Amino acid sequence: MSDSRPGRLGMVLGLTVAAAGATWWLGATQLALRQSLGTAALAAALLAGLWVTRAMLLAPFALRAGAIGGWRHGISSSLAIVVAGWPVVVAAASAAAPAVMGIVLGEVALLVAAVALPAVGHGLRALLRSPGSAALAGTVLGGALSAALWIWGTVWISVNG
Amino acid sequence: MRGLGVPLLALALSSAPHVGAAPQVELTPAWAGWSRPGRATEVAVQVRADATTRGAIEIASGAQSARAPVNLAAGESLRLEVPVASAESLEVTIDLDGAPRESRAQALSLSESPLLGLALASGEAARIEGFHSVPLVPADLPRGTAAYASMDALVLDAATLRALDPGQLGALIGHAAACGRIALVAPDAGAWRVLEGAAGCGARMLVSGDTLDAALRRLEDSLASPAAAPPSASDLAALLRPEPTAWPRIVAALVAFFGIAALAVAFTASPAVLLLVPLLASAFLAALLHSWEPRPRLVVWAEAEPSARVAQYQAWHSMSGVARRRLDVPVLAGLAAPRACDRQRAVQLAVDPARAQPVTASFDSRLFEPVALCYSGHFPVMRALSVTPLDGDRLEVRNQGTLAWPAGQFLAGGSVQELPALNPGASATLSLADGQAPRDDATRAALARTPYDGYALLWSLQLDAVADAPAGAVAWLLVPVAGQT
Repeated sequence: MSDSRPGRLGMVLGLTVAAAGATWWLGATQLALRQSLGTAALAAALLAGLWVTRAMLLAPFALRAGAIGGWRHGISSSLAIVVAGWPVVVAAASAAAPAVMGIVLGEVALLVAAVALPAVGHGLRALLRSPGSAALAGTVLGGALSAALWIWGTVWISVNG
Repeated sequence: MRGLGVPLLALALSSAPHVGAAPQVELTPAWAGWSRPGRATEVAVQVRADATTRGAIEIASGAQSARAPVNLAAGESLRLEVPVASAESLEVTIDLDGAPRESRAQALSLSESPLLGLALASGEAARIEGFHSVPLVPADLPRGTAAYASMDALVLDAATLRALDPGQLGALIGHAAACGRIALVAPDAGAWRVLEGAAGCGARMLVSGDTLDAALRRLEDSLASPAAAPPSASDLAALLRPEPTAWPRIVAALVAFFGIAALAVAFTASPAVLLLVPLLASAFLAALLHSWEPRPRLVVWAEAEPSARVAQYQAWHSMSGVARRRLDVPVLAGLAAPRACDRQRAVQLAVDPARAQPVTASFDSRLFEPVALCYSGHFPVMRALSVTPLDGDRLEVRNQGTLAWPAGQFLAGGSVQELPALNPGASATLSLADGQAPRDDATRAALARTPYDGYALLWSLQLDAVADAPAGAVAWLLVPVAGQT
């Protein structure tokens, strides 16, 4: 893996997620506007979906990038996943009902994860003394984190509606 | 030294700031505090101050509130009628200099039954089956036409009419024009002429009798002819749909961002550049959202019976939010009875004490979310006409009035055709077979309001009387005609 690849890959992943979310949101909003329906719930759904998707992507990607490319490269590529969606988040936050502070805290949590998880990946590499093993361990750990996040999200939605 | 003490104390006291009594604030709801759920009413606010007083008074009713600034010189007083939505309890906040901030609860009596107001100087009691009677004195009558929504029928005698001030008389005339049910007991000839001349719905809702019993009987008889229901927003949904001006802009902004980001990914691997692109795009989009001004839209829909002298209008002044922020919508001075169209929507009306009218409505808005102010009122009109079926499927439309009509549209049997301009006494012969399917939202809405087996004439109106109407405002006058197609 060359030095430049993790950053580009993170950006491509982030842009893909953001573009898919934005396409769904703008299409659904246009339909709602034509039928004189509210659009705030769609924006809130987009924000929740974008957050969960980026968080689930971030866990395996950041751990693996930290294990392979080191902490610095891991951070730059992980941050790219998070910030690539920000223009869509800004637009959706303007249309949604949830408090701005909650949305900001959610993004801050992603940023913290984007900084911390590559460090963990880097630590795994130092611990296992083998980039291949560290990458595998990071991917498995990240997958487990993503699964835990998905289960937590499902439980949260079933409890809070 | 002791000798100087008393004069010095007197001097100190005389030079101390004058502390007058706290400002007196009196709240008086219209209709002796009676109203009905979901209706509008009015609260008279009177402030008297011995010293210069500044501050504000806010009256909240559910999600809606009205705020009036107070700016009085010493010895001045202020009287203000504040339109409010009815609620069991109005929350009044008085925040004036020289007095502690005060919160009061002003209770209203809400009736599930229709209300019959009895404004009789004699104090006689009367009732109509199914109505709840409310005895009133002249001071209980409101000064805003909108507050008449609280009262389903009103009985007044000549003495009460004479006791009304010009503001109250103006509101009563406005209520008559809006097809309000009014019974007058032995009215003066002049008062009757004025009210009958202004009354809408062919003055069918305005009755009189020499005695209270006779007036009540006629009022009961008038209940058999229901007032025409004004068009609701759902009736005119297609016409009122806000223009999605923000949506294409957001699409363009996001497409531009994704394009630039894709180029950045393709041509550079610099992490700084890759991270900077979305950061700058987010900041630019946030600035853009707050710099866009929402485009207001005004639709006025008026209806009048043939030969009626007054048309009743409903108006919708709407705009779509472009950002999450406080959106101040200027209240159009040329239109009457402003209010938030959605009663559940939080809105604050800023009342100008000098004009005694709301001047701004403030909403919490979000991107794509429409906010709307509704108005209703009346204006004089002259569309005296007759529609006479001829042989076959032909009809004669005649201008029986004294004023020429502009060209309009004729609606019958689910189709629309052009109606030429007609001078007084002139007529046009139309064939129903020439009718075409409606081409725009206005004619579709007009067809929905056309009587079954009847006709309607539709004219586009100039909004000259509404000086502050937004560009692109549209207004329509519909005259439905009962008849046999």
